[in-house]
Amino acid sequence: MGASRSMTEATVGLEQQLEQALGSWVEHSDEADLDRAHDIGRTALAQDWSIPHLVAIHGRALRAVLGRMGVPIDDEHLRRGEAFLAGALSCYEMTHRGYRDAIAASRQLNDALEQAARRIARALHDEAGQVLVSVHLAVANFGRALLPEHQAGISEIQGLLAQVEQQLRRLSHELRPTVLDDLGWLPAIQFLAEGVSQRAQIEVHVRSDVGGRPSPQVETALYRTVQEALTNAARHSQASRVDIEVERDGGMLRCLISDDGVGFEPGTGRAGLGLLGMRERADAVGGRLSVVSQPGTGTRITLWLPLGE
Amino acid sequence: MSDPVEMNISSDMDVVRARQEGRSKALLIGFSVSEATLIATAISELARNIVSYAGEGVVALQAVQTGSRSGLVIVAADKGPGIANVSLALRDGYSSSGGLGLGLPGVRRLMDEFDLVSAPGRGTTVTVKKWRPRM
Repeated sequence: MGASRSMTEATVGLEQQLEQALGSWVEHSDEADLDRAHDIGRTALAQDWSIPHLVAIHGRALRAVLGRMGVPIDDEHLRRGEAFLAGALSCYEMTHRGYRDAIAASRQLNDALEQAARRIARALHDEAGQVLVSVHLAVANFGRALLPEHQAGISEIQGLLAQVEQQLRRLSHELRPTVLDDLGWLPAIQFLAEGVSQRAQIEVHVRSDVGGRPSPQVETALYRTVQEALTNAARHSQASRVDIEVERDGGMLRCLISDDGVGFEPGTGRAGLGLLGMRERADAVGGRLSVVSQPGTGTRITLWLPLGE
Repeated sequence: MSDPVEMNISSDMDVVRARQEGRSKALLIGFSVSEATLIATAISELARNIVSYAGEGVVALQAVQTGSRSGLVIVAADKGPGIANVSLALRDGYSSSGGLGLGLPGVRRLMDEFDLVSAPGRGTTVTVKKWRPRM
């Protein structure tokens, strides 16, 4: 009951805000009022107002505003006009709800994928890793019983085993770095950046003054986006330097990833798919992604994610 | 509660009558004007499907009350060709709605409950319910 009453109060509050902003807009035509309209729309969306409901509330507010200004109101015809608009917009309400469902499904899918990646990463690292350690010991024991002329063969096997172990560790880390769960996005991204620096001979600089940790979904989205961007930079961009900056922007986290590579023509080729994936990932957690690139000018990716405070 | 209404649907005029009935019944039960608009839209989609795919059928409206909840049940039934693949018909992008999430998937999203029974050659019955939000 408590929750539903506070919901009603919040709704009444939003209606009043709308009426006030609308009144100011109708009288003074100030752009700031339209900015408030935008904010009110965001809140209405978050509170799950339907599009026809917003039309109805707007109609009621407009009548109140005009009434106060002494403008004569033709109530019945206004009401009919609103009903007509609401009827037309009800189709958009259907597609809007479809989009909302798709976002929810995408978020669930991402969560499930991360869970699976976490499980496989742990199995590779812990279980397969343990077996390898035992093999190591067994080979070493066996080696001690052999004649000196067979020692070279044993050393070779040990060298190969060490390589397998290293590959397992790297694979496990790429699948789902434990540092991301244990220490958070910043150490995970720094570790990732070091790895890419070494492997691809790209200077990667990470800068952030943001403390604390957002929700696991947001943290994962941030990490995966940086991972994808660095992979793209290493594979396709021929960049010599990538800069990653994370900072606070109001209630959002803003991550800027820029490189000095060859860039690409937006909307063409392979780049499209990877960017679509990044965008969907951002959408799924209530964030936003923008990409600016042109052949010859490098690539700038900006990601905004909600901090949910 | 008011009496159930059953309407034969075979023309665009019948579609209009069905949505008009649905809207007034919704308002009578206590739905807001906006909710009544969405109910009329859902009825429109269902009745239009009957005209387009089966030629004729019926739309029935019935106010319901269970426990503390009250709402409206809409049944759209026809004896047309039926739907061969129901799950496909409920997927966005199938058939006439052209991937926009209208049609049956759209109706499902506007309503609280959705049930579809259909088989090739045996017609289609869609039953949807909309509950009044609890205060």
